[in-house]
Amino acid sequence: MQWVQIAITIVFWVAVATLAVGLIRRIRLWRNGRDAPVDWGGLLAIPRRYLVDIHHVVARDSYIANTHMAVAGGALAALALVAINYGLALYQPWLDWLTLAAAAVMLVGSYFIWARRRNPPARLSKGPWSRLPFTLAGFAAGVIGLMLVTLVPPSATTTMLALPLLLLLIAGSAELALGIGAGGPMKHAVAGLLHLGFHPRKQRFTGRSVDLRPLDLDAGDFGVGKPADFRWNQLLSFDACVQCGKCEAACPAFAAGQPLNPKKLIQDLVVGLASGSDAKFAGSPYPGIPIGEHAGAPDKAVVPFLIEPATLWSCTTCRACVEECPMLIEHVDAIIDLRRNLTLTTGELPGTASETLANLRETGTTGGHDVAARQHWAVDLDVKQAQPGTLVDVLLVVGEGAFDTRYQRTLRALVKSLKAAKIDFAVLGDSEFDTGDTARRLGDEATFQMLAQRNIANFARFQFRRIVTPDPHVLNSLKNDYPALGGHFAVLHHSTLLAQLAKSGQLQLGPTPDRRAVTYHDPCYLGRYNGEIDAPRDLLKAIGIEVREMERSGLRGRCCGGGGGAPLTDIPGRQRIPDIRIGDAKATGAAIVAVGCPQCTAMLEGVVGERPEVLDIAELVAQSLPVPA
Amino acid sequence: MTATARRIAVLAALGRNPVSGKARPNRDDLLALELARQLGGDLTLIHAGNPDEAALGDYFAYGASSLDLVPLADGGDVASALVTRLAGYDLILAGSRAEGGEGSGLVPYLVAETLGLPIVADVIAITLGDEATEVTQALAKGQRRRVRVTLPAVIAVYPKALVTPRYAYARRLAGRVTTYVAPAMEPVASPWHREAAKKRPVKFRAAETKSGHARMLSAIVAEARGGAVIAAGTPADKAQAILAYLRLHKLIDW
Amino acid sequence: MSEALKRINPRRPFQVTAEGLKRIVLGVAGEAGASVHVAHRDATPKPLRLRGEPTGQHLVIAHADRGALTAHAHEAIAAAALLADAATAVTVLVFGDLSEKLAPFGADRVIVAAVGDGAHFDPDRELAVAAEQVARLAPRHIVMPDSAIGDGDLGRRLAARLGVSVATHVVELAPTGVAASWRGGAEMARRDLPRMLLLDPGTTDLALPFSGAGERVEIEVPPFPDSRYRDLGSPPVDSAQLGLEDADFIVSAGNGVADVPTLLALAKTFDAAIGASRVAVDDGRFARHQQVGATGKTVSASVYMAIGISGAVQHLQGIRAVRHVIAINTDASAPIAQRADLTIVDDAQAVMEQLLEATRGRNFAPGVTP
Ligand SMILES: Cc1cc2nc3c(=O)[nH]c(=O)nc-3n(C[C@H](O)[C@H](O)[C@H](O)COP(=O)(O)OP(=O)(O)OC[C@H]3O[C@@H](n4cnc5c(N)ncnc54)[C@H](O)[C@@H]3O)c2cc1C
Ligand code: SF4
Ligand code: SF4
Repeated sequence: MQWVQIAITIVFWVAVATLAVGLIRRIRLWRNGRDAPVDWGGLLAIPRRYLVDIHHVVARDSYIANTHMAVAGGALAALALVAINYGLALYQPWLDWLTLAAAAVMLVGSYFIWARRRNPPARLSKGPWSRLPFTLAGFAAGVIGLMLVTLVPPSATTTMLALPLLLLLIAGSAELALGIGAGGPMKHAVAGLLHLGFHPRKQRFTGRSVDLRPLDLDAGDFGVGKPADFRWNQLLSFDACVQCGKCEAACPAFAAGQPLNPKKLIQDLVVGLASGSDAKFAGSPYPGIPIGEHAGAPDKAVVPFLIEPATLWSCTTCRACVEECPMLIEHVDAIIDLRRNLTLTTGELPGTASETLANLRETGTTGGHDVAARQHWAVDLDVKQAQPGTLVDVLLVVGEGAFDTRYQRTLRALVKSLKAAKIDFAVLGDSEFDTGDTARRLGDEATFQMLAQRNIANFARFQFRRIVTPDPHVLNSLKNDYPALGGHFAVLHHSTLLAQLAKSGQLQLGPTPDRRAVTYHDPCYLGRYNGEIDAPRDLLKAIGIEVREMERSGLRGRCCGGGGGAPLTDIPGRQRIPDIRIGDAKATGAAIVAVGCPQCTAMLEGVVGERPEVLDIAELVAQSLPVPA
Repeated sequence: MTATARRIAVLAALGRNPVSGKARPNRDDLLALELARQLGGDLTLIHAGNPDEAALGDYFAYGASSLDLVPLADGGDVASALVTRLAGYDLILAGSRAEGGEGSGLVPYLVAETLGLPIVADVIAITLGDEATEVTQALAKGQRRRVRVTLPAVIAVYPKALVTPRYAYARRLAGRVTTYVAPAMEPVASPWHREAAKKRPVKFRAAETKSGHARMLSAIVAEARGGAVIAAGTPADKAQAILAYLRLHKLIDW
Repeated sequence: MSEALKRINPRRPFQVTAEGLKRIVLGVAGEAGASVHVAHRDATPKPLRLRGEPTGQHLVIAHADRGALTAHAHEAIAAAALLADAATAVTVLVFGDLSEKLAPFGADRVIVAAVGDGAHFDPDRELAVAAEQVARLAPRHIVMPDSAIGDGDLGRRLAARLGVSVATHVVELAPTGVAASWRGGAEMARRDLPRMLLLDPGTTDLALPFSGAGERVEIEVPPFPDSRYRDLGSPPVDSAQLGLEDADFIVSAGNGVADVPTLLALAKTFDAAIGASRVAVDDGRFARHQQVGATGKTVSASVYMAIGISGAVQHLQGIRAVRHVIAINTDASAPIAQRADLTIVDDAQAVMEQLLEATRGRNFAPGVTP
């Protein structure tokens, strides 16, 4: 069947040409974005990033991991074989056999995709994505059939079958080849691979990378106002989205019914980069915002034409979406970039966010407090104040919680433990200013940089070995955000230090006198941002507490709702995020939620009605200090 | 639209954060600026004071695009300095009170008097017409009053006017300052001497006529401010205590 | 008299008598401490302050509302009387209808300028009258209440018109000089007595050992020609509907308030706006726009009555600018007690009902606004 072979060759090359044209068109769109260094070496790293980093995420759902392996692996193998055998017109039967085998694997995978999609979870997009199992199966079946047609001796039957099979192949190839150019579902394959190569945050492949890019304010860089303000590789990254909705399922704001859905946000940005409206979006909308009323273009302002401000202000910057995304898309970076533009060019922030930023500029505290009052909690504790010229081991940065009578209990408990362990520590007193974390997450880079510079200069006045803080936001700011501005410090969370001390025996701990059941809530800025999920658990274990884990914990913990300035912007939803989290805690039957963050303490304690008691790890530890004889 | 062609001046003082004392745009003047911005028109901010004060730049972040600066030594006559730059405006807006220094709230009145213009204070909303402007005044207890005033006019904005000044850093970089020559003015020594605020100012009262016991009683009442706790007694007694407190501080009149 | 020297802890819980007096002193009760209404109640006539024919005078200017001056204006009169020597008369120029007697506050002569409704905005006309009286009487000092609206406005117009030395926001005064609050209260500044004084509320004790002569004259005020102002009227506003930021008196409910209708009735009695803690809002008892605190409204009322509110920092952040905080809470150790000027430790429901009971039939009259 010579003509069938030639036809396949033609189909192959037409498909390749279509793909190439589509890719060029898409590249043009990406190139609308701002410049970013092109890391060609990243292309070489694609296989490793695919097999290691993506697999690491996808493997959490083994069903879809195996299915995707079968479909994508089968398809890639089949395409490669067809490229060699038909693209180069070799027409070797043994290659046909291999092709057939690869397509068969793909067909089986497609079946499982179809099976999952018969009763899909709400997070999955419908629309074109629903046809994917069929077009992929069509492609696989077309390949299998045509291979058979070429392999078996020609007969009337094969002749009769060849044409429909060829049409099946064409249909399947169209899905694959048109995807990138026409923005179909298979766009993800090409964009996803390129995205792996040109990832805007390539540090994440070698370690944890959560720092935000500092803006060059003097050069007029005020974040992203229109899609073309994103760097080109960010635009590319949006195209990689497979609309799996893992981010949506993880997002606390979405769960609380606030008008945010990270998946929709990424898709809106795709709409923006390619011009169009969101009417074709076939997934869950932003709660409360109907689909079809927003449109965008590369040079059109994102807010409010494409995305409502409330969507951006709902985000707690918890990074749950980033943690879950199989395509390694960086939602939080996009949200912060957009917020930056709103804050720096319009200053229009909802709720008490504007007031908070003014407080930060004018008093160096979020609450507008007198910095001289920051150390009031310690008046009777005989806590040293850092003095220039005197070396201390630990500089204790207490954070904004010091102004809150509730959180002062935590601080006092921490001091008790530090003293018990004979740690040489000092506080900053009235020269401690807010790190600027809240300002930065609210997009006020100017205020953040002002505070960061002030703090870096202030830290330089003192001699200390390391900084310890009970506030993960302080921790993250100092550890991850300050280096880019020239501040390099060894920073530890109090739980990390206490766990080290407990392990080394420097801190003697008895069993906790409180026998109630305990669950532990991972603060996002400690767990996901800084990878510290073990120290708090080790510490609890050391005082004889067995943590009853919540369904979402550790690196996949659910946010308390307190990050990113979200409590200030306070976008209304159906529910409050901390209510959901307390629900998680109650489900474990625990009577105590252990926390390690002033913000989590405040959020979880703000929940109305019957709820477990909220205690900081430091409080639980202090309770277990042996009573001095 | 005649309204957009209006020339509007906003008088801007240097303010201070009450907690930290850090210099900042004067809160009340920001409200005036924001109201003026909403009116549209040709807007100029006018400040008399130290030309090197960096915090003035924050007015740009709050939406002013140009600032006319009349250099003036500390304690100088602000109103007279301002008046040198105020010719030809249709509307002159000011905040109610400067938070940086004396904060007498007199400046807009002195400006109006010097220029022979009408002045309306406690304004929360402005509608511009051709010959006159209609303003809404806030009165006690949240009452409102509409007033029509001929143009040009001076308007002092109510300190709790429901407008929200917005700080946008990008605008800060775009502002333009024009510094004028300092007007020749006789330096006058201020009659005022500043000191830290007292918790409780001394009341002006007649030479002592009360019995020693009454004196002590009133001393207790004064001291008890800032945290009297009443635990004993019946709820009715306690209700009376609340009313007594309200009466004592003239918060109710019955 | 070792008893009298004993230091009394002002925070010690004290008894309350039926008249609402605090009884912390052992034994004695019933002597009027610092009641505002001393002057009214006094039955025995007091001696006149003026001796003989005056050689000069102090002028007090104020607006009347519904026939009466505010307590704030009473203080201005008392202050002028206390400043005056035996040969200086105190003349009070009142705009609007006046039905109360001003002699108990020290007024010797009362000029009632019947401009009709005292609340009608006609500043050119009032300014002309005031300036004319100043020219005619040549007062040594002019004293006015520095109220947010009305008198404060007229006072500044007059100061600007006369070009005289003036002190506004006066918080302390004596024959030797005045102190004014500067930088929004963060500082105080002193100077000698200026010609004109605008007094903040609370400067002067109304309990006077003397009385004024209280002669009354009425003057006709011709309408001002070509007024540049026209009063277009005031739409009525219901306090309960007021924006919290704007309200001067707020009754605020927390988790400890179960009975919302009683609370609403109480707010109505005080003509107060209604606030709530977040817990009360989250429970659906109050609307979101009524929430006071870090994530709600920031208020600056004169009075904030916190009923069944614990006073979490997030809540306290919203009431930082409030002058007088009154708390009703079953728990004396709730953080609100540290912020409150007066804390009533009792069941909210009982106290609210008693407050309603005690105020039944009373007509609300506007108090002093800062
Ligand atoms: C990020 C964040 C932002 C927040 N923002 C705000 C905010 O803007 N505004 C706000 O209010 N809260 C806010 N909160 C919540 C705040 O932390 C408190 O949870 C809340 O203010 C408590 O409200 P409450 O005092 O009414 O309730 P509770 O804490 O339950 O206190 C009720 C009080 O009533 C007393 N009580 C009970 N019964 C009676 C009775 N019969 N008679 C008299 N007293 C009684 C109790 O002793 C107690 O003191 C916020 C929390 C977080 C985490
Ligand atoms: S960071 Fe958290 S809140 Fe923000 S979009 Fe992602 S999951 Fe949602
Ligand atoms: S952004 Fe990532 S997690 Fe979210 S739908 Fe797209 S691919 Fe899935």
